[in-house]
Amino acid sequence: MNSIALWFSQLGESFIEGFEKNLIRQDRWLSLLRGLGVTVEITVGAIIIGTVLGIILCLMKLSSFKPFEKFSQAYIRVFRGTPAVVQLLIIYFGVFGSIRALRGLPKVAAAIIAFGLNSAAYIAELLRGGIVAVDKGQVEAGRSLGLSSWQTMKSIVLPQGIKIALPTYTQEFITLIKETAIAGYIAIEDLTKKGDIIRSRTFAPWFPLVTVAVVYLVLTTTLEIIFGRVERRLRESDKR
Amino acid sequence: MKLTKLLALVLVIALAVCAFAACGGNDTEQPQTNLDGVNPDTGDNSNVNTDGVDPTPVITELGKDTLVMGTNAEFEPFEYRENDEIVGYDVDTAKAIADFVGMDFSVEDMAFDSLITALNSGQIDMVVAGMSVTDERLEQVNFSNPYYRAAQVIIVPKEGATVASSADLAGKKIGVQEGTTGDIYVEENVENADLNRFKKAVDAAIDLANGRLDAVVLDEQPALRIVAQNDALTVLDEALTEEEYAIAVRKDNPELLSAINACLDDLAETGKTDELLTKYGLNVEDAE
Repeated sequence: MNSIALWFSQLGESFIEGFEKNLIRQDRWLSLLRGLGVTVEITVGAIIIGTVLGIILCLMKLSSFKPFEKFSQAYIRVFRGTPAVVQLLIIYFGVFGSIRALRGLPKVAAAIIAFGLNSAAYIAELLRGGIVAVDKGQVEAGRSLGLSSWQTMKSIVLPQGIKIALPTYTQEFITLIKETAIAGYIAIEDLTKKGDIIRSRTFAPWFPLVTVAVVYLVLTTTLEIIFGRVERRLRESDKR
Repeated sequence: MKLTKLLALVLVIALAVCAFAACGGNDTEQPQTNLDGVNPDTGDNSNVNTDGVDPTPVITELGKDTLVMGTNAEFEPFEYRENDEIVGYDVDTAKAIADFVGMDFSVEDMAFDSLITALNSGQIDMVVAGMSVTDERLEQVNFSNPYYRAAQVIIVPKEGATVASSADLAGKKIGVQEGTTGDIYVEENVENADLNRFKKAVDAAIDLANGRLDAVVLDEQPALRIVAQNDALTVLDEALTEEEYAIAVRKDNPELLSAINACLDDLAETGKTDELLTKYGLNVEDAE
């Protein structure tokens, strides 16, 4: 009995010690918070670029104009077929490094562009999946009512397609949050990097990284809840 | 409501795991030699008697046949890649240590800031990575007798440099390698520095050459090698710190520590140390 009590009191003590050393000392929690800010900044910037560019790429791929279709196809192939970390390094060291005008831009801008370009490829495909899944009869109905093909797309197919694509879009958003963890490769101090820096100072194998993991989990779970609500709202219209 | 409960549960589990790990970490620190009050400047951290060591016990103590060296092979001339093979002064020294204790030898190449964690979790047996002795590191590991005197220096562009000495570093964009003494030096001594921590010193140098940094703070020898390969960069003639490289071992492994010290002595006496220093273009006067 005694030894169990002792074990628990030791557990508590070393936990408090680890907490103090890895989070309280030198305001390390504040440093993690700043890292979280950078992670959110990159993710939000990238999802905006990714969504806008993704919609354009999706429409290009669906268009009957061949060069558009081919360009979109090649773009998606390149960005989905290569690792995001390689893309990030190429964009930062290669593109941003060799073009003089881009050198003055902050690193975070390079990351937002890199992750945005990457995300656009996935978003284009998931949107296309949603649009293609809309029943052909819907298009026929729209056209027979006298709507132009663009009007049919805009008011009949797109709204339904977006609803179908939303769960996958949520998934892409969550993937993006996690993927930004590689921003540390170009010396950006995001959440993961901040945890890593604390680890390089305290040499604690668990505390900083598990704390970082928990923060990511809170972030992705929150996002899931929000998008879950939106999905449920959109599904209201399915009830007849 | 359900979700908040779930979140709370996840948090509790995560924290329990932390605590458990922290507890486990403490256990390994118990059988240690007392290193309090060690002065790294004098190199007087060798409180282990190295005379007449019988190398055989190391193998039985470690319970394995292979001595695993952990390093970060981005640190010419101490450790770097040549034809995809890891070579360098540290690697040759570590090989000699493996020979000395009669074990097989292998190298694990990883991020510099992960080395001590990897050592304490048993993935590697010793860190031979041009690692300087610091008080913070001494809390985690034991160090062998120091084997090389080192310093942090400043790399700047040859043309249009905005930094001419350490006094100019304040408020500048400075590149370092994460977790190195250069990183810690800038963090603690330079005011309002825009600190950029790279996994590799070479990446910091590339950023400097691309004009996105004002200076890079790095160990002298690797800095000289980087500059030798890049015409646009130069090293300032000023030492920011005085440091000593030593080999790190786990605190629960005093047998290996004494064997390493005995081997280092042996290498120095037989002239092998000087031979290796010359082979890698290092200053014989800076060896200890």
